[in-house]
Amino acid sequence: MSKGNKTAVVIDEEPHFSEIMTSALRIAGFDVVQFFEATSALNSILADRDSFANALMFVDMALEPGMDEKVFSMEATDKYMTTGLVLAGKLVLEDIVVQARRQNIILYSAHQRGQFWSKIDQFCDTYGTRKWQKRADADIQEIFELASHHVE
Amino acid sequence: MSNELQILGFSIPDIVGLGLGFMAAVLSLIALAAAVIIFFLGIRHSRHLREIEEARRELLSANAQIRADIDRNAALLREVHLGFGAVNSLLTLQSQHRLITGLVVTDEERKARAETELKSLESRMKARELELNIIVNEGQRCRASLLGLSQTFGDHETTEFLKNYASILQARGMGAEEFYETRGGTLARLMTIEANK
Repeated sequence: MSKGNKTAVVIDEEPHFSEIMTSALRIAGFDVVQFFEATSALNSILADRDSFANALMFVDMALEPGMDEKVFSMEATDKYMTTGLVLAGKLVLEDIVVQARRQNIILYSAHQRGQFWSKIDQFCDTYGTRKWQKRADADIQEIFELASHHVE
Repeated sequence: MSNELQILGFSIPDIVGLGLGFMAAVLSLIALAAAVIIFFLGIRHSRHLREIEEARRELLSANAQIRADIDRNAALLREVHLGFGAVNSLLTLQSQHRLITGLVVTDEERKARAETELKSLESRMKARELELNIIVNEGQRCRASLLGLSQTFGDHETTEFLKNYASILQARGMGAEEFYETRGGTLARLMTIEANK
């Protein structure tokens, strides 16, 4: 990570979208770290919590759980539909992201509004994180503007 | 006239001796017949044994052939998978390139970053194209693509691709040494670049 740049973390199992997001964030001026599943994301962030404490984190909801089947079990993650929510919960509850910085966590999903989204709404209301409903065909401009907003 | 009891002019010991002799002759014939039967059965049995042994050898050889075919098919499948992976990655990069090209950026610093991003994508796209050339072409063209990769240094996926492709060639028993030799040079260069980063 280069000095002076802000750090962004993209946690998404879908490589295509993750790559586009990473490009948009890099152009916006972030140093970007990518993770493709929940366990490695959690372990890496826990191992270097100072570097990630101020990072802007984009967390996809329906993530691959990875190796830690205890924390990200099928029951805990609602059949792996809310793995991102469990991960964000760990980041908040382990105080990796302090209260003042919780709005740096952006939970997103391409799912339509419904029961699934009410869980995200509830989580965001409780912990002060933010949410973003991405379109399945979300273009880079949208991501770029979302990222740019956080640089200033 | 003798006192010995005679039947039709034969004394009892004669009759017993005759009987025993006759029985011995019959038993000998039976034994002979049994020996002949056993002999022919033995011949048949050893012929069957030979046939079984032959069939076993054929089975083993067929097994080895099937195993070789399975390995070869698995290698082909891995090659197809590797090719699809490269195509998928190339399409993703192309789409990413198209999106970034269409990105509206007013800030000069960000414009410069977008240019850097595009250049990086272009070099990664070139790497995927060269990797696909390695799979599609053989001989001289494959070598030319390997050389191309060693000159452009590929990207983080290239080293993995080359390792996988070399192991596929080895599984197929096709010119793996030659590829290894070239790959060794290519890999060494890529690793030096990675180490220097």
